[in-house]
Amino acid sequence: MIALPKKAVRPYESLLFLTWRFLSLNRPELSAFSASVNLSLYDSLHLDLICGRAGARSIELTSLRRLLGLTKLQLRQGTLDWSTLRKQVLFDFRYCLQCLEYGYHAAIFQLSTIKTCPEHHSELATGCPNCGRCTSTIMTRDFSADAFTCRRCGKVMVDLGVLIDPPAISFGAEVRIIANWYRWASDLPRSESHLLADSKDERQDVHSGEWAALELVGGRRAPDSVGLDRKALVGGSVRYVRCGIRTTSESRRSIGGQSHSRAEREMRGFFLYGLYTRHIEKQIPQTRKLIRVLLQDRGNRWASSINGVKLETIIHAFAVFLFRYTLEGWGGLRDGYRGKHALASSQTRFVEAFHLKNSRCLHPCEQGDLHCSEAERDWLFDHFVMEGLRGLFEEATSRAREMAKTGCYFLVDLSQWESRALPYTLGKFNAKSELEFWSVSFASDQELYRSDLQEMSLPISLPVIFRKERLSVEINA
Amino acid sequence: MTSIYRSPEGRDHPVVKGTYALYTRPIQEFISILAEWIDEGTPGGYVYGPYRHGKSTAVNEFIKVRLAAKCAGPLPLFTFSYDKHDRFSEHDFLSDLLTASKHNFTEGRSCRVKTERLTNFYATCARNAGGNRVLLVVDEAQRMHGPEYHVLCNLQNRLDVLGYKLTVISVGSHQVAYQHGAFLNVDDLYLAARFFVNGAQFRGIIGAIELEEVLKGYDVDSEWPAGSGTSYTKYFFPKAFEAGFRLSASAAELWSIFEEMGPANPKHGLQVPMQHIARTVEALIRKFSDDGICEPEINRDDLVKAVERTGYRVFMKAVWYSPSTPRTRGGSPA
Repeated sequence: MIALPKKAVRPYESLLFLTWRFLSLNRPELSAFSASVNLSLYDSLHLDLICGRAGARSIELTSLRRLLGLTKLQLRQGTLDWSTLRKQVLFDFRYCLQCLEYGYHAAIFQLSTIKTCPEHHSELATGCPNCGRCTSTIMTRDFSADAFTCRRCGKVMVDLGVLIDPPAISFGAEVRIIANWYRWASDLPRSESHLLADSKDERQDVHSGEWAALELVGGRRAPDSVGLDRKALVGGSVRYVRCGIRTTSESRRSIGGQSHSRAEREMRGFFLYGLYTRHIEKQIPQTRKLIRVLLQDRGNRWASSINGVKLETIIHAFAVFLFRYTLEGWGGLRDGYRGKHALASSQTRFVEAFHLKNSRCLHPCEQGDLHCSEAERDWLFDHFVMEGLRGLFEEATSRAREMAKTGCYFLVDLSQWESRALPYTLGKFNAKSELEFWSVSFASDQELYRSDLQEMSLPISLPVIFRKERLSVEINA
Repeated sequence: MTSIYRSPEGRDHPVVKGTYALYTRPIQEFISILAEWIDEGTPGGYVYGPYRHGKSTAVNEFIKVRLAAKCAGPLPLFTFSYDKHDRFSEHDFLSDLLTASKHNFTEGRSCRVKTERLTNFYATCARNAGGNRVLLVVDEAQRMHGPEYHVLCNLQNRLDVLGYKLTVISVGSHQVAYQHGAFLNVDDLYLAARFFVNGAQFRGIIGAIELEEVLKGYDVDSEWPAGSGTSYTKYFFPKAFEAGFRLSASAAELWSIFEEMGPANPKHGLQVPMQHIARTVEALIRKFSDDGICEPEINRDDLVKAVERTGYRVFMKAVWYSPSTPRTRGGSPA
């Protein structure tokens, strides 16, 4: 038996707070506590109860849940999803003073996007009200000390009487709305890829860009109290690609397809490049003709050829030209004019150019939080290649538009292009069990780029026919 | 003819194993007194009585079930049999209390932590029961002295601060009653005022009528196997029971034997310890239990022998020479 007030768990009360209450009332020894919850001593001293982890590992919390008399739902409500929210979780105990009078703390108070208490609208505080000393939400060596008493000045933050008999709360509706929104967003199946921000202390950054994107593509607006960074999405666009067939988890595991080697992947990338290039060349009929003119290196002829041609056509043709110039690694115009086999012979240079330093194309094997089988990786690779190609073509179009405005066209290597926008790739399974990808383009600070995106954002279906294999992406495994 | 007592199926019978308890009138009175004290909100009280009278059985077997029915509202109740060590240790005492309370965590580095743990535990139990009272019944309390009561006093004070009331009932032999005077002599008046405000005696069986009630417990108010409707007497004397044999019919004769073999002039009337009655009945069952006979021939000599074997005569002499109540020593009235 233990000292534990029965039927005293309030809605969305954090597991951290409930565990602290248990520890404060029972004051167990570390070894006894570890044995009770079936954890090693190391894990007990590194418990992150906000995300239900110990150090970098997720741990089994069933024993703790039973010890605290929680239902599975209460445990779920009392924790945050590490795989999706880790960048937003703060590790210093944050509280609302008014909620603390009721001995109440919700897990969402630890989110950096939540600045104020959704119920009392007071700013969430960190540290002791008396001396300012912060209390870590991670278990530490002074385990047996009362978590509700400041270890520096001895200030008691929650009365013992409140811990023994926690009063019922009349509030909680707003907390529920926010927690439910985050739970919905966390559960949304997706694959994400993004460049890591160059920040020394990653925890200080609010990487909520993808959450804003989720809000947009999922069609469920976040509550006002959630401070999502929506600025990045202004002028951005959302596109989606629908492909693949969802399979059961068993069939996913038994996929026997062998993973492609790096060389094979590059071959595949080059093949996709060919397909995509032909697609964009065919989008506007005059494009190929204009490109041929350019390749013949007759400047005056180019000027005469574009007379009477629509501006959009010119921009498109020059963009295709710049696109090929960059990716096929042409040293000059002559390199591009080599007949039917020009493309095949430039494969090596394509591969070099393709690994752009700042490419928007992220290889799923190298970066990103993807949990999928090897065969799925290959399939995702196709998608990522297409994303990269499309991003580069957008940049080429932007440059061509700029040149069209001045009337001065010149060759520029787009491999020097620096992506100011972080690409996000999100996906979910639709009602037809197909996997839909959204590629969310975040606008950069440049007005020009933003306007380009606005004009170019079309709900396209990529021209590439993906392999119709039984593939899908395991999300948040 | 076969002895059921020694038969393989009879081995698990509570009478054979000695694991049964009968609800007697002294136990009934004891529980009524406790219920009164609790309803009055008394911080403590003591119940004393000679050895082998059934105090521990009352505390361990009946108090939880019967007291809850008598008290107004739910009552968390903890029983604790004090185990005397050579030297008093607050650590050990608190650990024993935690163990007796069935707390998961009984060890700790400091007494402060253990006291807090116990306080929070009692308070939470009271809160979960929907009230603010907790009852702690300490058996073998005659071994407890000042330091132990100081610990209980601290516990009571801490619970008072939180708004919960702890009632400590000390149950033990007649020496418990002397604690009151002892605390007065060493200026621990506040301990006497807390834990020895109320006192009561746990008596033995007095008179043939009460003895008959006890024996009816074997005849009627008992059952084994559970749900079978078979009383203990019926189990060991099946045919005889059908023919009308009852142990309670021998109550008057048995009582006269207890009177004969007991002290000639008992101070407060003869009080037969429950254990001697039980052992006498067990001896009779052991000797006469049979599934074939219709009427066991139990004569007076058999009863005398059975009583003699329980050591009744020696025990009563010992009790006779020992001071039986605090009244004779001029203590506070019980």
